[in-house]
Amino acid sequence: MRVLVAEDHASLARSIANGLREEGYAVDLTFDGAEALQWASENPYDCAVLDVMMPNKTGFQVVETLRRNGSAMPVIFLTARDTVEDRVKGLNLGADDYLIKPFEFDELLARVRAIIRRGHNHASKSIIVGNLEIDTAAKSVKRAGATITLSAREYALLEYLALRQGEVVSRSEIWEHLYDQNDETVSNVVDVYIGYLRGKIDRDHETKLIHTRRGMGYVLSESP
Amino acid sequence: MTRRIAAAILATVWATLIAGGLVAYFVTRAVQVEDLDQTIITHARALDAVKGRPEYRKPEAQPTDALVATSQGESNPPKAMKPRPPGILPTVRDAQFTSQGSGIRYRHLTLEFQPVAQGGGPLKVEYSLPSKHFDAFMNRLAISLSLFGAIAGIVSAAIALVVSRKTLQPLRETAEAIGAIDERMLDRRINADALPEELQPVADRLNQMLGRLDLAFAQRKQFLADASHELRTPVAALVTSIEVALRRPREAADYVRTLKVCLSDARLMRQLIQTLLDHARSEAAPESAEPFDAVALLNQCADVADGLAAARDVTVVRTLPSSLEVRTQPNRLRGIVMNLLGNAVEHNRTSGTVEIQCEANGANLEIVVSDTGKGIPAADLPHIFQPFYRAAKDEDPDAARQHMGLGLFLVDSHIKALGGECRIQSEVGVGTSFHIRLPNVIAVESKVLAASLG
Repeated sequence: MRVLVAEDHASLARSIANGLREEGYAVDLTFDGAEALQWASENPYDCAVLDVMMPNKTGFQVVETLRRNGSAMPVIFLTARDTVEDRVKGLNLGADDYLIKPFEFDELLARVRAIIRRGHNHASKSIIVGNLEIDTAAKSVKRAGATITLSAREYALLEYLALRQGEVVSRSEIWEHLYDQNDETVSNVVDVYIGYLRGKIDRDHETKLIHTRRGMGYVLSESP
Repeated sequence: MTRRIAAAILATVWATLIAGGLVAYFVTRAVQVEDLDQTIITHARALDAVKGRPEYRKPEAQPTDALVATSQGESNPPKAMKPRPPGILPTVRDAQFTSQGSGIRYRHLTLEFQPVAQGGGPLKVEYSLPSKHFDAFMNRLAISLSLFGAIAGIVSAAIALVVSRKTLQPLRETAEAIGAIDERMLDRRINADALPEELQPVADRLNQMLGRLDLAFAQRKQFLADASHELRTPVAALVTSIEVALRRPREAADYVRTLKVCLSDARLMRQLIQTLLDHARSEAAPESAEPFDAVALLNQCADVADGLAAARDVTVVRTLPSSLEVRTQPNRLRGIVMNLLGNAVEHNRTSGTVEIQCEANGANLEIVVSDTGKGIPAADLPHIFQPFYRAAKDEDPDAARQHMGLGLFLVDSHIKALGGECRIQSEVGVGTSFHIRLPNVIAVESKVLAASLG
């Protein structure tokens, strides 16, 4: 999952970005409102975490412009402004959530997770595909009751496919959602990770869940 | 107030009633006594002892038929002449009310008739008449007057109370309205139109005062809100940095990095808290003006700035007289100069210069702090004294967050507290200079006086 973090207090921004990266998110980081708007317009982030008071463009302005341009990107505001009017304004502008500084990082994580799930129309924290069960809160994966250990990248890939289960997901979509601007990726990295994932998810099971659609991408589903 | 006005009205009304009653009583009494005495005299003159003695009798007066002519020649009918009682009028030697044993009161007159003809001395006659009717009349009068007075007194008391209540009702309502106003409702105003004319200036003044309080409170509130808002972000950064660092075991170098980041955020908070406390303290307990050498103080500030400037390869140039005696608040002056010098060094270019000048202009002290920094865009100039204001764009987000945007706010509040003013000249890419003028801090007269005396 790829997240945009825009916050003008540098140390806060970096800590959030590092924490999210360690949780397996691809994170793009900016300290500037105008840059945040430009990036959000160009990249399909699964979630944007925006400070309200930023140089050049406020978080409110960023969301307003995004929504006007038809983007439904899930947005969480981070703000020191805790008045009811401010919250109402933020939510009215089309933000999905509102977090008051100072906050607990775990709470931010939980909200980012929830908002990404909701963005993919999944209200529950666990996603089930056949006998595969993904707990997005614990980031644990079980198949037929047996726990499968995945690396952060592998998990991120599986979660993304699972959130879009039944849909064909192209390589470039996967790439866009799993890698941030700083990742130096080789062209076949997606195929490599799909290979790892198949080895851990499908190898010991008769029913395969990950299917290749030649020329289009991959599908995670029970039916072939 | 109501009671006092009512009491004043009542005292006046009652005093008038009592005085009027007494006057009415005694005037009536005098008239009645006169009447009574006349009756007695008439009776006395009718006594045989008087009537029968010709030496005490005047000859019968002849009625005259004279016409009274007016200037217009019209004639009025002659007035009917009253038939005069016979005899002469006695002199009243003594008159008193006496009381016989039976309890009946009498009017007793001692009269003396002077003879009009030869033959006999003055005739002394004592005559008493029961004063029953007179007493009864006077009693009735006293009772009537007392009753009337009492009723009028009560009625006037009631009226006074109602009127004073009614008159003061708007004042009471106003008092209630004022009483209901606390710091959360300073936007309320007293309705001056509802008040009597005399009270309207009071209401107007109160409204003006409320307006000033409202503004001052709003500014305080905004400052407090901004300050807490500014504290939230470094706290959030501190908490998040530590939380993220503690999520898993790490290398020592990672912890050191995290601790350094935390330290810079903690320093930012310390700086903000220190600034807020200084500000609150200088507002709460104003320093008193004292005489000191301004140049010595400016040199101290410049020494501190030298230390900061050396690290950035900036030169601090001092254009100062040898000494300048002033009378003002030294800590405020230091606050002004230190903040400006700090900014001038901070926002300067490498190998730039900062200049501090000062001179006496009459009784005014003029200080100029100028730099060769990046300058302030015209759009930002009107806002730079606002607390927590930051120019829109700072290239380096780490540097931008090292300042809370309070320095110039403090400079401004110090200058205002000293009654001075500040003018800014700035050109983007060239530099900025702050011209400060503090009025009446140099004792010109005393110097001139001392010189002329010396």
